[in-house]
Amino acid sequence: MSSFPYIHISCPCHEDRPQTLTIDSARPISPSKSPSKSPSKHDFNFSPTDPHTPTKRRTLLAGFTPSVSFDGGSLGLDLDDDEELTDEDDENNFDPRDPRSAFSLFPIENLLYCEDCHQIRCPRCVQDEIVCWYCPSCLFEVPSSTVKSDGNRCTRNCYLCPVCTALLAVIPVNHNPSGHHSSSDHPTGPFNLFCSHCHWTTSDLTPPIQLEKPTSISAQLSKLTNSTQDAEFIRLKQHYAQQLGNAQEDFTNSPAALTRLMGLYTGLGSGSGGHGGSRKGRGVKKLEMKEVDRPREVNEEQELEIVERMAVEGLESTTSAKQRLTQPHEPRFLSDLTPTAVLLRTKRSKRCRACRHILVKPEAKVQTTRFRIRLVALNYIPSLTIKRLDSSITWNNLVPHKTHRFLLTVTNPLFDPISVSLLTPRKTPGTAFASKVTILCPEFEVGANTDVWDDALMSTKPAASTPSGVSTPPVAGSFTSFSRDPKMSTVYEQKRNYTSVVIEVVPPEIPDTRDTRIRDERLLEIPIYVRVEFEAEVDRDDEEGGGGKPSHSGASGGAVQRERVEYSYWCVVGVGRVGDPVEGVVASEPNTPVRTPVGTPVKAPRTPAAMRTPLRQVRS
Amino acid sequence: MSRDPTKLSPNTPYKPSASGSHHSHHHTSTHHTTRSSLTANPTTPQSRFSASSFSSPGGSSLHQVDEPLIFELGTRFFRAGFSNESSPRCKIGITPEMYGRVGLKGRGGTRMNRRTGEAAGPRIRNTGSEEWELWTNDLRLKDLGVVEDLMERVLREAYNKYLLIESKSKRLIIILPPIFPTAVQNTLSHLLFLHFQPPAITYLSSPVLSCLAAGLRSALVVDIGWQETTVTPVYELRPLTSFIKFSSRGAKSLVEVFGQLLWNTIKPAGDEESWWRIFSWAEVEDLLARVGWCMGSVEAREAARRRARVAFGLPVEDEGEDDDEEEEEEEDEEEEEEEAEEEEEEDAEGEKALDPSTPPTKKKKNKGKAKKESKKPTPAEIRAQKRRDTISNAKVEVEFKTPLLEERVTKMKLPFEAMSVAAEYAFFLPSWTKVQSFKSTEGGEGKEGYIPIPEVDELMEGCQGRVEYEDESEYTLPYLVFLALLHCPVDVRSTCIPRIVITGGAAGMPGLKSRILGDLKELVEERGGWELAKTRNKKGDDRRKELTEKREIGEAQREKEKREREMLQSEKDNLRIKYAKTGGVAPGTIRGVETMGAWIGGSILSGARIKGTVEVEREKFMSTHRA
Repeated sequence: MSSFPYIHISCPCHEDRPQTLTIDSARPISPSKSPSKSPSKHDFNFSPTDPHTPTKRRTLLAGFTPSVSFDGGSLGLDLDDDEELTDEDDENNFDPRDPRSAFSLFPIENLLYCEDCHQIRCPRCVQDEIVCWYCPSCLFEVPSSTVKSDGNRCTRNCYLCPVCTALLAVIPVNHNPSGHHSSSDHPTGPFNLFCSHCHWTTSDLTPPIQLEKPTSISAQLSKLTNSTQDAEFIRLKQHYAQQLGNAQEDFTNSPAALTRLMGLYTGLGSGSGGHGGSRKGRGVKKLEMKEVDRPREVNEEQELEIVERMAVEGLESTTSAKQRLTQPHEPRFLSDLTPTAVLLRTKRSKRCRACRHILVKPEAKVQTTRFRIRLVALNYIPSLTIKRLDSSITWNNLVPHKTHRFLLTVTNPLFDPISVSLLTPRKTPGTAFASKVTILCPEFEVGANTDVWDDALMSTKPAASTPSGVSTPPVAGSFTSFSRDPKMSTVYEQKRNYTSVVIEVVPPEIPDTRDTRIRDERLLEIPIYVRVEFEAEVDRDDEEGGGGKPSHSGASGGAVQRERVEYSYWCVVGVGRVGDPVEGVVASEPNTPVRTPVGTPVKAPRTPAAMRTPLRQVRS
Repeated sequence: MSRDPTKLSPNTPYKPSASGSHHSHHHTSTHHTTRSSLTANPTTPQSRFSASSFSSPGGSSLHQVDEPLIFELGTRFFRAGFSNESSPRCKIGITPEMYGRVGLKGRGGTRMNRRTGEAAGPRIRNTGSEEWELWTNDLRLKDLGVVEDLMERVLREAYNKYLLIESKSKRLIIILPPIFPTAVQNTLSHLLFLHFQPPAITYLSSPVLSCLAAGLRSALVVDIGWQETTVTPVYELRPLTSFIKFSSRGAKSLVEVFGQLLWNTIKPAGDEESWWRIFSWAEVEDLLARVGWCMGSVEAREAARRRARVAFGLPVEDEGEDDDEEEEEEEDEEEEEEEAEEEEEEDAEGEKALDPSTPPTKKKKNKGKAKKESKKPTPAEIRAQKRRDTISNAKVEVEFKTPLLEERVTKMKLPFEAMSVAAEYAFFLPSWTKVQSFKSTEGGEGKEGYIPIPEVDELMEGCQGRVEYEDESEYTLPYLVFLALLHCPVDVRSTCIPRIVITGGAAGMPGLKSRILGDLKELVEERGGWELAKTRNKKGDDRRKELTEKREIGEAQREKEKREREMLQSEKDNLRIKYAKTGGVAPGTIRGVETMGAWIGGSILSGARIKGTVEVEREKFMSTHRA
């Protein structure tokens, strides 16, 4: 049952939503964060109003000095830092244990990315538009005009077993599987619907349903199944229609409305007509509103009969909650179940709620699985994976007080190299049993997702084709071109488009609260704030045609305008569960030097001092 | 405080135009600061005839060609569908999985077996009913953000999976329970307008629609909901909100009791674990829905009486008819004794406590006598006896997944009769009754075991089984209905007594409706009418009079009085017959009426194109509310 490790990404909409939507008007309202809603790129610089400003957090974590800054936008931040530090240090950290965060955390596969907003978009921050309706069973496209009247269900021959929800087959009633000696090729009726999974047939029903033809089942079934509820509904509807003055007329069709309008005026004009005319001196014709004739009374005998039937037929003959909910009138007994038509499905295109740009647009044809536009987050945001550095670690049984080292790998899907900063609260938030977490190298570069062939070419003439906008040490390129820059020193491993860093976790001793508390305190989840920065080409022209990945940053055009883009998000790394304390392992300092794993080349000497050096970004 | 019914008639509730528009304005503004369903008079069909047909711009229903979607928001289930249809398109039950993360089963981590410590499936949150609910009435410790997130999830599922419609295009009609926290309603409006963007929302109150779906215009709507039971008098399609009564007994307590009974049956002594950590809430609820039933009034009274006899150490008679005579004698003796006791102590409570048992005894006596006279039971009686036998002989085999116990699957074979006990505890027994188990039949043979024998002290103090002594929020259902009727204005009461509509999640349990009505009848008889001030121990007084008169007045006088009474009775009967001929019921006859449920009511209402006087419009809402 080990589902560890897992990585969930928090959609930024979690932060956008006002936290105090609660009624209490006396409570202070958090300042609205309008900038992040506007699609302009410049708003994605960190503004001081943003409570999730990473700069501030960076000062808290890992012992950095606040002098590090990424761009001009955040320079003014230092003013606020002190207050915020003292005030809401904990509050601004993303707490994976908060019940609300369960609604904003997704595996990366479930997320979309809006190119214009440079934001992750979860299913909540997109608007769906239906492209087409189809039956998932027969792949028949249903025109939009008939979808509603058909009850969102397939009106052809697709029916599901009400007992086990398998697809029903139409077979003749006197069907003998062995005999192909029937004279004619096409079998003769009557037919019934048969479930090949649980062997339920419509002949089991009381009264049994048998069809004359093997086709157009819906029409035949609708004639055969008349529930008392439907009859009662029609009776009530007619009653009220009568009361409203348009007797015999179904009030759904529009002429009725017109009649009523006419009646309204005539009623106004001649107050004399009708039996309720002289009421209270008002001229409007009134009908005496009556209740329905002979309403259905509660009948003890009927209820007792149901009880008796339950006693006689036993548990097996009653419907389970699942079966009941799929039926329109919630039948109590299995024999009252009717086949359910297959629910239609839709192909939907999705728009970003903020900027209305289309994020996903499938092909309109039912049979194809292709997409015209599909901006999935996997192609835009670096994906994180976590591995054990030491294979003796068991995910489900982390040892308290022991320093566990994991390898956090950031893979870049973009064609531009990115600089990544990973920030994490020094102690996991939201719990009394906080684990100490340290990312040994929180800022690093990840190379571009260039073609493998490019790699080969570049190895011959290194660093020539690297985009020169970023004045960072040459990244990626070849395996050999590792610089001796101290910044890179603690990077564990760096390959073409991924970089691995070490993350140290020291869980405390945690009592096992699974049975007594609401939350599992031993569950160790590390929130990490990922901030990504890169220079992208500005190509506003082919937004729609972009298809899957962002266009390759071809270095051919010398005057290509480049723009600095940055975005950030929280993600949660489910590292494992803390186990029982082990004797001999006592609390230790987390920042002990990394022991060199066997067989792995290490590029630079690692000392605690090196790690604590403020990492300065070299700037042009 | 008798009201002229014409004043409540459909024609005058609102003044035309001016007040109509004023009302809507008022509503949109105050809507969010009050318990709107209580204060706001939710829109009723009459509006079409009054304000809206005139100059009020709200009456533009003619141009509204599109039919609205109808959502019914329950605590446990969410229903959605289109108007003018006989059933909702979808019913979504809330499960703890809905509170979890996408792509993560359970809540992260595993559960462990209580014995072996082995992993036993993904961990679920271990809080009783909390995560089976969409919202709670008690919002003190509830994060409304979670409610919002969950509602969004549910709504998205409804739109994308079942309704298959673009949410922007359709107006909404939302049916809310009679008591709905404004905070949640505000959250809901905001959420809908922000994420789903319907043009307008109309909120309707569920009791009115339940009444409508029963084909009535006035009714006492008893909604046995998940969290609580609400009794709302509806008069001419208006909920009389100031006369609503509540009880915390609801479908939730029913499931809780049933789970507790099951756990008590299998748990080892001394194990204090909560049942929902052992059983899956869903499985228990499902089983209860499948085999749970409710005892009839007469049987239940008899059982209560038998328990009382055991408590007092009196001999319990067998069910056989042969003992009838002896039993009668015993009964008489017992009562004589009690009379004596009472006179000495001037303490009526003792007899009061036994009071509930007396009516069925008498009935039984009468029955016995009748049987002796005719010697031939009627077919109906044979039928009833046969039914009783089938029920008492039936067994139910149940199976539960219990991953935390030694046996991963627990099987139990329970008597079918036991399946009715949960309803007794949840709805009819005093709330302080300790929940027993299905196993403990030691207390006596058969039935007595499931419900504990009351302590003599309790009986003597007069609180056992006496609904008046119950905590106000935990009145038993029949008494709650009785109270609701009692506190209504007399005209409303006379209209509502023959129109009791029982609806809500638990009302589907077979036998429950007739049980509530039966108990209500007995309660009224016992109390001797609908006087607000209770005539103290009326029956005792009557009996005392009778006893004293027995000595004084001669046989002839008594005969005369008896004849008079009979004549009066026959007159009443004649009236009843007369009413029955015209299809009506005599005022004062307790009658239950079946309803199709609030959702259907909404469907009919909107199908008739009756537009609410109050609509919350998107633009207006979003402009007045912070985004």
